[in-house]
Amino acid sequence: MATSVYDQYINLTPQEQQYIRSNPHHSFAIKASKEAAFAETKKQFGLNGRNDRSDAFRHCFWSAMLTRDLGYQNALRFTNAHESDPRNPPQEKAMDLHNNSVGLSIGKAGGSNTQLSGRCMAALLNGQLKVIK
Amino acid sequence: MMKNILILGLITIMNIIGCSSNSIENIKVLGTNEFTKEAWVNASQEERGGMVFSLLKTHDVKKMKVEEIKSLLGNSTAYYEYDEFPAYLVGSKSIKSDYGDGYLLAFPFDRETGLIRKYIIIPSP
Repeated sequence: MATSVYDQYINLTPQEQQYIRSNPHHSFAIKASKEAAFAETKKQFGLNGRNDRSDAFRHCFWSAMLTRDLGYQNALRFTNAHESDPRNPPQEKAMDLHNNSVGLSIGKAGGSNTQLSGRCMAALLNGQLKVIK
Repeated sequence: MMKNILILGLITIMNIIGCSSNSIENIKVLGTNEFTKEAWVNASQEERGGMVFSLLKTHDVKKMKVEEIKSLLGNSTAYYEYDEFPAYLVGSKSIKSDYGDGYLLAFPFDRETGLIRKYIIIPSP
């Protein structure tokens, strides 16, 4: 996942870019949460997949960390912005928004990355997270 | 002041160069089988790997819109950054990456124009 800062910024959706411009002091937490979610998902599942259990977990854990670090409303705004491109396939968008919402709730209680990861894994095992395949 | 501007410019250039698409000649190691849309659709992941060189040699993907890439290569089979970025696992499943078993072939695009910005292969062949 070694991409340049330039690449990371131009990959953002317009809504994400707007959020970053309005809240530049959140950039570090957003970047850190993305990298932590990617790494933890690889650790737990061996890959970062698409529409599968690893995808569901990654969205939950990422949203939980953002809620803890930015607060619920900001995390909700940014995670929604992430899904805002009109080319995002509707079924996949619905899955991601659902799993984000579980993570947003989990993150309200705070905790370490290990604790948030554990709660998202429990949510996955309890059937609270959605997968397409 | 001037020194700072030069350093900033150098970092920017290094960032841009550092993320440029893999050299097409390096991709030959995946195979040199002819790419056709029909062959790709019916091919296994391993067989698709062998067509990537031909695909990139015969199609200037940077002049293609994301919808054209999806029409050519079908639905994504892998994930890269955003669900709307076309992404495919190709080649031998013995290749391990953060994205699954095989090489990740992905096409991030300009969100305003829909044009493919570049192709990405992870890990680099």
